[in-house]
Amino acid sequence: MKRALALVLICIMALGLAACGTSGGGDGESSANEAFEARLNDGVNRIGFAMADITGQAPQREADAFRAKAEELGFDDVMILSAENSVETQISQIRDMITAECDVICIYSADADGVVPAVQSCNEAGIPVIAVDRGINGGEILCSIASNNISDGRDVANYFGLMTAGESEDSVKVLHIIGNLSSTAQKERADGFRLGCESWGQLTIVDEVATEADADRIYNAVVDAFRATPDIKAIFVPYDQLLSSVVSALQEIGMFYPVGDERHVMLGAVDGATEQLEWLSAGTNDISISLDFEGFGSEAVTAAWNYMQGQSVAETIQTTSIPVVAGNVDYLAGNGYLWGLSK
Amino acid sequence: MKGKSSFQHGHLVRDFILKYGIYVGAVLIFIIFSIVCKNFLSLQNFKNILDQYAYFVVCAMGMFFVVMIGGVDLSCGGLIAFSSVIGTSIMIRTKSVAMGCILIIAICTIAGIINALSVAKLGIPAFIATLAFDNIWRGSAYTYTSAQSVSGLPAGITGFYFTKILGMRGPTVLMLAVFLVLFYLLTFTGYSKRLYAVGGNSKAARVMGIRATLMMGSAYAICGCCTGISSIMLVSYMASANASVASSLSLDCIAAVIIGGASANGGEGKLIGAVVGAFLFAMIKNGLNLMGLSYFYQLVATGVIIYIAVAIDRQRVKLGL
Repeated sequence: MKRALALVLICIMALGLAACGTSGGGDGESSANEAFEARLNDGVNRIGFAMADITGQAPQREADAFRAKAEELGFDDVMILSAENSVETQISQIRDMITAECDVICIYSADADGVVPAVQSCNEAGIPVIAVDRGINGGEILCSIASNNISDGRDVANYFGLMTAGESEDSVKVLHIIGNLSSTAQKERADGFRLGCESWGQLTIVDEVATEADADRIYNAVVDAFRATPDIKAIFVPYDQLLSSVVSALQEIGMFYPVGDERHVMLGAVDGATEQLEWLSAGTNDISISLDFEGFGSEAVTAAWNYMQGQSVAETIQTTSIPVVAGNVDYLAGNGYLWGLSK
Repeated sequence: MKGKSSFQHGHLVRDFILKYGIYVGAVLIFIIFSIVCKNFLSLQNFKNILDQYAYFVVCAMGMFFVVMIGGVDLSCGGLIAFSSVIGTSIMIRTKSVAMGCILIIAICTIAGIINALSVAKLGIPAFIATLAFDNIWRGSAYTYTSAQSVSGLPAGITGFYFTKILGMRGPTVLMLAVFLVLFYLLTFTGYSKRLYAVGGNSKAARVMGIRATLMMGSAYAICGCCTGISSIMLVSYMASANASVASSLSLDCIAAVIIGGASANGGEGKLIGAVVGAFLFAMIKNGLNLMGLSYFYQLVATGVIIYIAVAIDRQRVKLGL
C-alpha cells in the first residue's frame, strides 16, 4: 500500500516530466521576446521581488515601498519572497517566480555570483530583471538601482578625516569591519572607505575583518582588534545593523565613551536605521549615511512599469544618500529626509 | 456488537493513518496546492521542482542509509560547502571538470568514513561527532575562500544544469540514476537485510555474524558519496560555490527521511519513503513560494510537518505497527 501510494506520487511527477520533455518552446532572443509579449497580454500584471532577506528594518521598508508603489501603479499581483540570505533558496524562489509568470522580476541578491544562473533562466524566459540595492555579476540586467556605494563609504572616511584633521601621519588607527563579501554593495562601500582613508594622511586602517552579518563574529572581531591595537580611534561598519555588536564589544572591554569624550572611539556606518539615528543624538556614534530604501523599492517598480509600457529605462538609477551627523539629524528628520525617523 | 464493530473500525482508521498518513498527507497537500495555486499544477512547475530539489533528494537518499543504522549525519551541509569550494577551485585551476567532481566525491566519501570511525571506534555520539565535523568543514570553507564566492567555473559544470537528456535536465537524470543504483542495492542484494539488522539491534546483528562496524562505515560512506553528488549538483545549479550554502540541509534531509516513514531509531524505513518525504518538502516550499507567502510560513509549515511525522512514528512504534 505504502509503495503503491509512493509510486502514484512518483508517476504524477514523471508524467509531468515526460510531458515537459516533449513540450515545445524554442530558444533564443526572439522566443524570449515573444514570451514577454505573451505575458504582457495575458491580462494580469505581475511583478516579483526576490529579496536576500527581509528581517531588518531597512529591507522591510524596501519591501513595503515596493508593494505600495506596485499597487499604486496598478499591478494586479505582487510576489515578494525572502531567501534569508540563502543563495540556493533565492535561486529556487526566482525560478518559482518564472513559473508564476511574473512580467518583471526584481532581485536584491543574496550573492552577486550565485544568482547568475537564475538571472539567465529569467533571460531565457524573456523576463526582464532589475537589480535592486546590490549588483549582480552576470546575465542580462535591464536596470540596476542602487546608491553610490563607493561614495557612501568614502563619506564616512572623510568625516573621520575631518574630525581628526591636524593629527600626525598614520596616528589615527581605524578598524574596518567588512561584513558580507558576496555583497557587491558592501564590497564597494569597503573600497570607498579605503579610498577615503588614503586621502587623509593621519588615517591608517590597522585591521580589516570579514564578519558576515554574524553578531558574535563582529563582537569578537572588535574585542580581538582592541587586544592587538588598544589605541584604535575609529570603526567603520558597512551597515547600521552591525553597529549594535560593535557598541556591545566596546562596552565589554571598557572602551565605550560618548561623543565629546577624548577617549571616544568614532563609529561610522551606512543605512540610516532608526536606532542608529537616535544614537547620533545621544552621542553614541558619529555618522550614518542614510540610504533611500523606499526609493530602491519604488524606483524598481517604476522602472518595471515603464518598461512594460514600452518606455525606455535607464541602465543605472542612482538613489540619493544623505550623510547624517549629530548636527543635522534633527533638521533632516524634521523635514522628512530620513526614512529611519519618518513616521 | 455494533459498538465492537465501530471500535474496530476506529482502530482501522487509526492504524491506516499511522501507517500511511504521510503518503495521504502528501497527496492532500498536492491537491490543495493544485487548487489554491494557479501555476502549481503545470508541467513547467513539475520540471522546476525536480530540477531545483534534485540535489536535496539525493542528499536525503544518502541520509536514509545513516538513519537506517540508527545514526544521524549533521555534517552534510558543511561538507557540501567545503567540498564544493575545493572542487571548484581545482576545476578552475586545472580546467578539468572531471577532476573537480572526482575530488568532491572523494572528499565527501572519506568524510563519511571518518564520521563512521568517530562513532564506531571512538564511541562519540553521532550527533556530536557529525555536528563537530559540520563546523570543521564549514569553517575550513570560509577560511579557504575568505567568505567569497568561487565563480568563473568551466562551462562543463555550469552547463550540466541546462543539459537535457530525454527531455530531463542533468540534475534530474543524475538523481534518477542515484535512486536506481541505491534501489538496486537495497532490493536485489542482501545489503538491506544487514542494514536493517544493524539498525534494529546491533548486538543481535553481531551475534548473527554481521559486521556491524563495517555496515556502519558503508552507510556513512554512502551518505558521504551522495553528499558529494549533491554538492556537484548544487555547484551546477548555482554556477558557483560558496561557504555559506546548504546551512540547513542536514536537518532538512533527516526530516525528509523521518517524514518518509523511516524510524528515527533505525532499522525501519523505505528508500522510496525518503524520496517522497524529500519531494513533500520541496512541494511545500514550491507551493508556498507560488502563493507568494514568505519564508517564515515555510519554516512554520515544515516544522509542523516534522512534528506530526515524528509523533506518528512514535505512536507507530508504541503500537507495534
